[in-house]
Amino acid sequence: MHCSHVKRVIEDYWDRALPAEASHRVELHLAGCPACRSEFGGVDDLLRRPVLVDVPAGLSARIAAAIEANTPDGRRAASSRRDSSAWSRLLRNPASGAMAACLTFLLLGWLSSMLPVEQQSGPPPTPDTPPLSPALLASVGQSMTLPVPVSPLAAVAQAAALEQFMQSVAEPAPVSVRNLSFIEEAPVTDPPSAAQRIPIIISRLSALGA
Amino acid sequence: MQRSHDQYEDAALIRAAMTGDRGAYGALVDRHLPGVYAVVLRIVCNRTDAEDLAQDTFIRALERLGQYGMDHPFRNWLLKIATNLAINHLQARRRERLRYPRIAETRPETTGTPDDGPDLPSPREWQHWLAQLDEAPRAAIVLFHFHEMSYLEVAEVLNVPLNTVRTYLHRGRRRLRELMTAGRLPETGSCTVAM
Repeated sequence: MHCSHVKRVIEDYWDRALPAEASHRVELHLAGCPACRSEFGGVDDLLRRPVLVDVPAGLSARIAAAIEANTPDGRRAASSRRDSSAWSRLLRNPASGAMAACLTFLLLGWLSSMLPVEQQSGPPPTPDTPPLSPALLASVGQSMTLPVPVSPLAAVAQAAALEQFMQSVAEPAPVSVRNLSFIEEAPVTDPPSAAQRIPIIISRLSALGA
Repeated sequence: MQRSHDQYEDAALIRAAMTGDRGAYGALVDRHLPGVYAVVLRIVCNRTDAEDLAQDTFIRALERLGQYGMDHPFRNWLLKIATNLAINHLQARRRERLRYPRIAETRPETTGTPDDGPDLPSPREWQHWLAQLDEAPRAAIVLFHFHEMSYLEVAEVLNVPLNTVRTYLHRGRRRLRELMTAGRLPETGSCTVAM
């Protein structure tokens, strides 16, 4: 076999596309021709005689463990281990521990600033807004069924204002009678209603006229 | 004949693994780990990376086991996953080398002891030659020559047409000839693998 022929068929030879006999002749030529061996021998040795690869010891077990960790049960277990180990790492780490201490002090300081200066004893003060009475809740529900859409917050505000107005009409706030000398001072325990105050005013006006 | 027998055994294990039988999948890992590890090692030329990629291959294969259609050899399906992971890894390393050349040079290398005869190039050297190839021709040469796959099988694994496989092989072999003829030593940072 000539060198020129080998150059023509070398790619087919490496592609395993030559018949067995032709492939054998190329192989023999490469082994015996210094020129062709210099040009093609290195690649031929690389491709035709690869070195076996040994699997590292323990790789199979490591893969099995990784697969186990990647299953749903394994991920749940890893998550719980990660959470607990994360806390333990946080506690062990001086930098993160110092940061946590600073944050704790800041939080305590903020909380303490939110507390009132004087703690009042006795009954709690009357809240500024009336509690949610059943009538209020019913009015909120009624407002929600109105054809005009009303947001829940707006409905609650409207109902609270409405109830306050209703209460003010039904039970007027006690009037301070100290500055009105012609009106008899009403008993402290029972603030006079509007109906009760009218006869008193009439009697006093009559007394002035007489 | 041996390959068809292997495929028959694989099919039984795969069916069991699909039902959640972890022991069956472990048996599949044991059967195919040498081939998968050899492919990724010859492509990426780094033992540590090859171990990680082999692990990733079997994890991904388990996740996608339902997509395996039983119409092709399980070995080829696994090697397709492994080859894609290895090529992606090489491309990521190349981008890292371009972006951070100093960090890329400090990556640890593994060394080994040659155990071949005096006529053969030492394992250290010929892996260096292989590392000079681009990812696709390198993968094609590893699959075709080192794992004795056919053109069709290589085309399936690399997901390219047959003519592209031929181009990859010819280009890769021509490049190897040029490097070996010129007697160029590989650049620093390429693989040094114990074989």
